[in-house]
Amino acid sequence: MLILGGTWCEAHPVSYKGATQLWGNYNDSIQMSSLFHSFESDWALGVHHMRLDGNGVDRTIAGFRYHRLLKRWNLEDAQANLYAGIGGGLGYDDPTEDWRPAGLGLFRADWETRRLLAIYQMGLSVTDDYTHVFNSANFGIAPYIAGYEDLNTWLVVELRYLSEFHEKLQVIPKVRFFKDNVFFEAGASTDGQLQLNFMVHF
Amino acid sequence: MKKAFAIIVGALLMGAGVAGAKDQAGETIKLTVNGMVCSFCVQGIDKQFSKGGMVDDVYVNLDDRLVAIALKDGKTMSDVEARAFVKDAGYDVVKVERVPDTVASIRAASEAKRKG
Repeated sequence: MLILGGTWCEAHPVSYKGATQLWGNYNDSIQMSSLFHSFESDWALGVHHMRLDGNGVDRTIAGFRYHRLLKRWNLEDAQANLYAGIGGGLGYDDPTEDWRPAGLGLFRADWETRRLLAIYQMGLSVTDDYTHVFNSANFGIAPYIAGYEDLNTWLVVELRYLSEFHEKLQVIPKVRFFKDNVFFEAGASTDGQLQLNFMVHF
Repeated sequence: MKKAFAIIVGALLMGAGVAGAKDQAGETIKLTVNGMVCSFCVQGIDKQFSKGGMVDDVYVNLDDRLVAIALKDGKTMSDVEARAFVKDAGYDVVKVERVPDTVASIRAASEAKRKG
């Protein structure tokens, strides 16, 4: 049994042409780091490393991912996007096991204004044993409308469910900050797990 | 009457001279762009225009959906090129204008408006 994870992104999975993105997601049970490069404004290629630790498992996964912007709506006061991704890699369920192959699929839909945001993401992890599903929904509101050069602040609630790993739906209130090319998010699930996410592009 | 005519002609010639000089150096391009809602992502517009050594200054204002670009002396940029830079950042240009204002004056006016 093997999960190829790292299927979610707090910011957009594809950035501007030529951008390199470094991001990390860390909580008590999941530690993930990713490095991506957007070769065009509609596709990116990258690598990631993730460790799932808890609930009786200790899994490590490393692999590559391809992200594609399927459709973007640039509106006067909003932007909406559809993304898909595929990937492959190696991992193990237990440090004593050998590395084994795995693959994944990713779908993301988002809609954002300067005041509100909504994001839905689904990840499929395909292994030699089964297909594993990750679901996440984020809803956010900006307490003030920030300018281009200002510090942006968002209050976000994430609903997350990782089948087999989570026993129930996780509810994670978070506060999100970004300024210039640095993005930082911190929160805690209602069952007490701290959550830290960061992203930098350059 | 002759004097008034001379003043008008002189002013027109001076204006043409200033406009001609402006075309040669430090032209300002003003773009109206759709989809600019997230300043973290809009960084890409700044980055796209800043590469290639054509642009002296870039000003982005999310309130007005505005991107103002000051070209370096002697540099030119077509509307098609300007639209392509914004497209590479992931956004859509809906209007391109060539304006006599400097980016600094556009920035000052926009910031004054923003602060009320």
